Amino acid sequence: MKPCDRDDWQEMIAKKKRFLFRMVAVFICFYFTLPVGVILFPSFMAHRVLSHFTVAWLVAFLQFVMVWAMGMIYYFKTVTFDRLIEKIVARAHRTRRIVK
Amino acid sequence: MNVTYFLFFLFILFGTLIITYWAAQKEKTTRQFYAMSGSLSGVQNGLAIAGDFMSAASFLGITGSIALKGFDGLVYALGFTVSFLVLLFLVAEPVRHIGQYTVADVIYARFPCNNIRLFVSASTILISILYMIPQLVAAGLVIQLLLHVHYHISVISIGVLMVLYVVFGGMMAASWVQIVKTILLLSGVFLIVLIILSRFQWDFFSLVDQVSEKSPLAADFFLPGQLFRHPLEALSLNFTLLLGTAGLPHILVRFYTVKNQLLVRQSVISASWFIGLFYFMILILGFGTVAVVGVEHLKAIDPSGNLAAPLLAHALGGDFLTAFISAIAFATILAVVTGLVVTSTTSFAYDIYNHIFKKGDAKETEQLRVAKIAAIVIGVIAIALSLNLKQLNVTFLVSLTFSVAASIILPVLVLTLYWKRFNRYGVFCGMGAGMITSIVAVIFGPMLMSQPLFPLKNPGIVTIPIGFLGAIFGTFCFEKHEEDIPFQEFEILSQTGISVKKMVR
Repeated sequence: MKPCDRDDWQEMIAKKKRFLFRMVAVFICFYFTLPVGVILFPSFMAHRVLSHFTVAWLVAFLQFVMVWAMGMIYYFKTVTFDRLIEKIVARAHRTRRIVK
Repeated sequence: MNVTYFLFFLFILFGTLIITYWAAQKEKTTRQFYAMSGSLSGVQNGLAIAGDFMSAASFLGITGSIALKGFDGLVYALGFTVSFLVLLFLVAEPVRHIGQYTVADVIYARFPCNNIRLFVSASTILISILYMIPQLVAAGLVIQLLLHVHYHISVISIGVLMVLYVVFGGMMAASWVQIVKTILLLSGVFLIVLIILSRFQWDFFSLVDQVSEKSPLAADFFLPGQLFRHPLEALSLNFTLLLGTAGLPHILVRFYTVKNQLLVRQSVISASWFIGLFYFMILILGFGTVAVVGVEHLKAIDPSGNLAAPLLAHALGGDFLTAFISAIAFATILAVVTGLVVTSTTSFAYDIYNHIFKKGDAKETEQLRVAKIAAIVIGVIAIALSLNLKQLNVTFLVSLTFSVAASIILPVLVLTLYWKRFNRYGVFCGMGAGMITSIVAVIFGPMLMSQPLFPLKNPGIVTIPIGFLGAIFGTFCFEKHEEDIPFQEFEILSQTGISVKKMVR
């Protein structure tokens, strides 16, 4: 049996894909909030928040923050997946399912 | 010729040649030439990715766009920065695990077919040359303007330099030129930001008030709608920028210059920090241009706004600062074109010569010789095209490059990595559909026709989905080929880097 046939591998892959799907959905939705918001709610996006800066500027600045924050979340979360993968691969090595 | 300008250009020239000489001493094998034997650290590679990515269009173009068009100029900066999440979440790690030196490696690992390798490699070379032309034209114009050297001589000199770096230093010279360029660029821009803020007694909002007073757009400067009259155009540009980066071969091959997936993550995350901070500072440079230089003065000298940064530097620090910033712009262009030459060269020598002509049996020395000849040939082609395209507005080539990268490489790459049912016929149909529609949309679009048949300057919103649909169509129309690698085995390779050949059946 190869690692891909094992339940723990399948479970790990499913978990990782779920995590990636959620992250991708969140950032794509937030990214398009700006152009879509400008088209659909122009007056709301033009509402001043601070000095001359409007809601559109706020959303734009938050997108930079989003990139950095999601990058860090990804970095720390994937370490747990790395550990799971290492365990599964090590088990496969022990049972000689992978030739070194 | 201004001596200060000349000295700064000379400094960049000698600095980069010393790097190349040092790299040439170490560059002995193909693994070193193509990927530096994976010897960079995460942050070093992040700096190199930022150096590869922050082109003259970013530095000179976006500063001008923000100064002239206000909020809309920021769209480019946002798209470029957020696109790094697509790269991080979907593409970077699997590419590192699967491939060795090129993008074609990744697709070929699942669909072992030489025609696929050839198609992907040809696309890599095409995208790289297309992207090289606007960089070389911009470099020619900047040097012509600052040093009063003839356009042809400027383009030929930069072209010769980029070829020299690659021939003698390969990926190592390209990477270190990019790292040094990023450090210079970030520190130069930071210096200008400090000078601007000090002019306004460190009160950012006083700068903002000045912008609102002095911009011809007045308060509209802070509102969307100045650059894109049609909202669909803005949406399409957003879409293309978001997905374009993850399809650019010269960015993807940078993941081979680090050892493992942890360093790949560090590379992308640190690059996103460098690039994000850079655009924040560019925003202040755009504001500073309006407040200190004035839009009328900028338009009088350069209606496109591309000289905003050098003009701002001149207003703030005279010839000395202008020379410093112009030399940084020169280094920026050099680093980007060098990255493009090394990517296309590797693709030719490794994919086409070694794998297709020599069936994977080419000797190290033979491959290195072919790589160096390929660098010269690709350089000559790019120089010749750039010399002839001076009169043409070459910005359409930047748009074409991003559109082609996002419509050809990205759909096939993502579906190869994540879609179980995908097959080799899907690869051909997806790449063909993406390539044909991108080229047709640009040729018949507003960039090249006065009465355009296709209405969008940035066709990504149409061409990228067509790339995906073409790939899906091809997959459903044809049966899986018997030599295609089973998806589960491929998935192990993409997630762990362990080859299916090492599995005991």
